[in-house]
Amino acid sequence: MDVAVILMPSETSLTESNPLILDSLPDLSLNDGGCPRRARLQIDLMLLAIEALYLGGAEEMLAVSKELELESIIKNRVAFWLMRNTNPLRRYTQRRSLTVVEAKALVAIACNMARKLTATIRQLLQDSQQLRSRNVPLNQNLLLFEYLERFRAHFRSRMNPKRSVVVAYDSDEKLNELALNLLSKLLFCTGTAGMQRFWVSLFDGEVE
Amino acid sequence: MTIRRQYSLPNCSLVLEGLSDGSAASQLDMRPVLSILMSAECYVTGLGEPLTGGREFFESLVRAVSSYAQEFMSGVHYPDRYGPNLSMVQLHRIDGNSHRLTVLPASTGSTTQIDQKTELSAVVDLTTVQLFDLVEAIDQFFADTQTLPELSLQLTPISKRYIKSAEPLAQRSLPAVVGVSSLALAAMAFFLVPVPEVQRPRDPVPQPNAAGQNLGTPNPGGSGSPNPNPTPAADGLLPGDKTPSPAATGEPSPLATPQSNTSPESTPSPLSEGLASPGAAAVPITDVAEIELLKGKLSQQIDGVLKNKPAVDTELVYRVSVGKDGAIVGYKSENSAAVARSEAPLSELLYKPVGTRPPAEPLADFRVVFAPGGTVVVTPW
Repeated sequence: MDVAVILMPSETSLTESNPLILDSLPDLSLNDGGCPRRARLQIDLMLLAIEALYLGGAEEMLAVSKELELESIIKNRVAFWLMRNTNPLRRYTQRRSLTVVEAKALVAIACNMARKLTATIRQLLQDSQQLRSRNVPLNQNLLLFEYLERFRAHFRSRMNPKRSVVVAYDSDEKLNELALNLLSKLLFCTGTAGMQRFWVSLFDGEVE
Repeated sequence: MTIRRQYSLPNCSLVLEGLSDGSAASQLDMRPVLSILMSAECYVTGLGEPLTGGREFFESLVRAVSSYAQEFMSGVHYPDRYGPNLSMVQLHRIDGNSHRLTVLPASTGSTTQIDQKTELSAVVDLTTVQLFDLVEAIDQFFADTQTLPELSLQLTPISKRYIKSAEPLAQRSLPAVVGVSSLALAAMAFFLVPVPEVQRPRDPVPQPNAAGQNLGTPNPGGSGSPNPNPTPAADGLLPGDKTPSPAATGEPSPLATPQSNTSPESTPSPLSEGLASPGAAAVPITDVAEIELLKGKLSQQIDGVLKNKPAVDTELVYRVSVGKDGAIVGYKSENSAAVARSEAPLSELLYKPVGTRPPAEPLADFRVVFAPGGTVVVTPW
């Protein structure tokens, strides 16, 4: 708490090796260099929610990584897949951890995609709010229904059903809840400081 | 000249009014720097009156909202994220989709020059989208370097230490309590389970009474010294002499077993089988070449076992019955020294019947002599 990180991009923080966009994210001190478990989980789930929002989202993510000049970190489709599979809940989860630079790259992609989808995200959240306040089932809204259905399908096909965390999401309602929760977090990623907020939130309670 | 800055979003707008301190540097800019805040107004849709206040209110608002946004994203609750809260503005989670913003009256004696409208406390319930608009308005203000430049977005993750202390003691000690109590339960359960008795397979001659019986057993085939007082154990063998029955030779003799304390499964049965072999159903192996071969096998087996055992101190003589495949199916002590010895060197070589061996198996008998020098002599019986 005694070290305040000021998130203004400054000349001194620029390094040549890393893409410029990642310089706005502070390097948070971690003892072993890898990302904490919750961060790996959260990043992958956010990307999963984006895929559910947007057909062809996975392809778009690779395109965005080129756009943001992150090719040096995400070299190809397989590397991207392996990075996302550091999520401990995945069926094909990787033993290795996610390096801080890789995590920053994924966060940058997620936030960039989220910003492009701002209108959809806001609309879905407002619709779900209205449906809830009137006690109408969420699947009455077609867009919302599609998003939730796709999210559930993605989650069930990619997560390891033997993990206790995954077992906890055994019903459609619980997965819908998770999908909406991720959607509102995606909304916060769309803001002016959304990327920094998302990045720093991944390390809450994880740093010394 | 009053400067007015407005940050507008669909559900929320933030209006700041203030003055420039008029320093020379700021005059050169197109937009002068708003460095002295006079009033701040926060309009939220659904709320008739805006939330208004002075610098204290505004600082408290931006801190509370920024901190709560982080809490919302990480799910980690820590109220005093950025130092001691000014506590004029507070945000609490009601459920996943609504958030309560509370503005408390400014602390008495505070020297704010702002109109007293803010002294009324206000409670607003915000939806997530409204909350986001408020956060975004504040982030836009932070990003604006021409408005209160000394206030900037400061984000730091919460330290582990604060998370631990934030959890109540009962919650923290729960895992330990569960662990200790389950250990106690397991200990009690195991206490009730009886200690299993270890039953080691014994030798045919471990105890005096068993040895006596063995001594008294007549050897119809070999020794030719009929005992005038046959023991009950011998009774089981004698009928076998006259009426060769496969059942009597293959299985442990029902009369013999209750008498001996040794394990009925392993040792007595091959013994009786082996000893009964010459005159009974079992046909002795007569082929000289085969006997020679079996002798070699037997010597090899005995040598293998004897290697890591100390040499015997007196001569031991055994009569050993060997099956066609070289397996030792039975043996018998032939001199007093061997009888007295509780554990024969052969015991571990003894063939343990798995399933049933053919009852009338051809057998060859050998005389095995363990000499004190460590040598072993094997000769056909």
